[in-house]
Amino acid sequence: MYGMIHQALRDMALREITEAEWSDLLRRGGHARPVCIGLEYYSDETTMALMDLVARRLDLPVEEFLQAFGRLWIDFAGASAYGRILDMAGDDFVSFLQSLDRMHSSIRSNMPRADMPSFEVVAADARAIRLRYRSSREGLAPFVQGILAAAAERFDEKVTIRHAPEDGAVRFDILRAGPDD
Amino acid sequence: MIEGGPFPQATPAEGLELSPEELSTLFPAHLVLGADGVIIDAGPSLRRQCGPDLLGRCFFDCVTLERPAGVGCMDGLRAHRRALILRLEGEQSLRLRGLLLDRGERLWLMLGHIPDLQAEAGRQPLQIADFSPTDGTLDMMLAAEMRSGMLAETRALATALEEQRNKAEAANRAKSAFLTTMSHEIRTPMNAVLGVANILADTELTDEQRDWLDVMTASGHSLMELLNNILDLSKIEAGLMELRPEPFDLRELARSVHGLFAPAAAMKDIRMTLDFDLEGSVYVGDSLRVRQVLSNLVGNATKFTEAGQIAITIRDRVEEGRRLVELSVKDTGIGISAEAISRLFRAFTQADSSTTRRYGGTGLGLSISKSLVEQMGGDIRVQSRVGRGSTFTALIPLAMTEQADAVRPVPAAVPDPGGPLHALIVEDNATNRLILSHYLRRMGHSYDAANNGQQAIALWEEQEYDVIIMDIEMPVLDGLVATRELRRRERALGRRYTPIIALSADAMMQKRETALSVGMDSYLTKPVSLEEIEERIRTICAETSRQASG
Ligand code: HEM
Repeated sequence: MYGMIHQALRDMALREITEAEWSDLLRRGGHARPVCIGLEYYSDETTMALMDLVARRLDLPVEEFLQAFGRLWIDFAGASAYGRILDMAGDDFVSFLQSLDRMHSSIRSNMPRADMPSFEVVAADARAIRLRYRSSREGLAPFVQGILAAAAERFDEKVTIRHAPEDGAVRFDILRAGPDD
Repeated sequence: MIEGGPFPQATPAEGLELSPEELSTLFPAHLVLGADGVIIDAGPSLRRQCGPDLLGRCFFDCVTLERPAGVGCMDGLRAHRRALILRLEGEQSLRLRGLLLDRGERLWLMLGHIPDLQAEAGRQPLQIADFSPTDGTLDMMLAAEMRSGMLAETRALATALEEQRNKAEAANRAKSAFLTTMSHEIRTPMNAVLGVANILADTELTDEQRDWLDVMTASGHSLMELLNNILDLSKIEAGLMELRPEPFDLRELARSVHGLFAPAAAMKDIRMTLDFDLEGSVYVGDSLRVRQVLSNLVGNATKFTEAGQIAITIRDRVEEGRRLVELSVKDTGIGISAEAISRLFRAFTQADSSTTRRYGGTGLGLSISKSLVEQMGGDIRVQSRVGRGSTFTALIPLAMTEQADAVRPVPAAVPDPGGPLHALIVEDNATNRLILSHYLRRMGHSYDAANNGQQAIALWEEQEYDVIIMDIEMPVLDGLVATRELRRRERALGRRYTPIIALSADAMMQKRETALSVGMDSYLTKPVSLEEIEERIRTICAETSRQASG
């Protein structure tokens, strides 16, 4: 994946570890240089190996780590050059989710090697949203869950999120707590 | 529509009827105008941005047309029928561009947003859904953001890099300063050790004791050489190495280096040859440093060759208008692998560290030589094959000169000023005082000793001295201040000029210069040997008496 993902990993890691320890993780992850460049493409193996190293260093089970990383991702992207497109994604949670594919395809036109996920809002009402997530990668559902949880907070929504595999994709059921709940 | 033109008529988009949803998705910012110019429909983006009030208003009342400019009625719009740019004034002013479709009663304005790229974050009212999925504007906006993001990233990297470089430079300076101080600190006691060894050598010794003393002296000298190398290196790294170009005899220099190493080579049954292919003899350069480089190359060859021969060749040629002198040293030694060659010139690395154990040395010499040659504008090259031997070639640009008499005279046979002298030793360190007094006794001179400059002046006030040997670094009154004062008093009192030889632990060129500028006549770096001090006293005194009589 693109280096900006590695940069977010670094942000996350540096909450717990020192710069020197981070450099050591990079080295062990096979990085030749001590910095990751946002628009440089790294193979998925490299990215996944780095995630694994960070998870282990932070002593988190992979699922938990991915969720936490997903939560951090929104803040990281919001503070980056992508902050504006994130702001443009919608005024409410559902339109935000509906914009995800358009957002990723705009990003992709500027990051031509990215292999982007796809999100489809299958159904939505005041109580629940059903979202379908498709990806060529496996095992990133907890990451999506973390992002969704943080995104809901951006719109002041309290949600409970469940996910399960369905037809080669992952189905997310987002239960919305209404203002009275 | 072009009828009967040269082009085949386009097939009408039959069957391409858009549902209202499809129309809204493809043109989220379209407008439909009635015959009287009233807005009768609008895409979801414009409705969301401008509110429901938009419908029913007169188009010309709520729009500023940039293109076609100044049009104020439906007929004007119809006549234009081309690209439109307009600003829809409302709570938020929206800039739009697009195309006009004339459908009889109605005009369809198929528009898209022109975002304000200068708007501050959060002030941009547009959302992803405001753009048609076929519109690349969003991608362009993102590209602009990414460019500035990339710029920020590059700046941050450059800043980090600069900080790191500054830190590294500071650390390097600290290291150089530390090395310089350490070498000085070690020099002083080493000076005493070598001096005392010298004194001991003059006494009755058994053969065994003399052997031990030789080991001690040799070890002391190699330690001093190492210290000198470290000092040179830290000077080079601190950018303080100064070159003093002057005319010198290159053949003479090479012969003397050959003469220095040939005996050691002969002991190992190695033949050391010296050949010249030179146009001249006298060249302009820092002879001390040229000699250091050649000695280093020849010394290494001697060290790393066990059998065979060492060929020293000194050539010159003119290349691109400048004269290049080539000092080439070819040996039949152990040779160096290609990989090791790349590390060869770095400080503290020899071809491999086992070499250090077997042949001794720190590998500093080569990196010093390389730096020196580079400072002289040249280069050192290596050709080598493991087991076959190596050729080291220093290429140094040196101008040739004809004026042989400009060459600094070699102080070979200095006339004896005659008779014993009366000297004044000024030195705060007791051991050094002891050594100097021993030297003077050996030379048959008489002497007085002072601990500092003030005592020296007091003694000089009372009596005449033929020569003063004065340390520079001393408490109470240092050698520089004392000399200045002595020279002033000499003039004021009209007393005889007393030659002063400076002694210092500092090999830096500036120190030497300062010493000479305050009125000292000569400068010696500690440790000094008996021979050195003897030669210097002779030269200086001869010079002084010649000037006094001439
Ligand atoms: C401005 C915000 C965002 C940016 C800049 C962004 C950018 C990216 C990038 C560059 C990748 C890596 C693709 C690759 O290199 O192959 C990625 C992957 C991903 N993004 Fe986003 N993204 C953003 C927001 C979101 C949001 C809100 C979600 C919501 C769920 C999301 C879900 C994902 C997932 C799950 C992946 C992993 C790839 C996969 O599943 O195969 N992203 N994104």
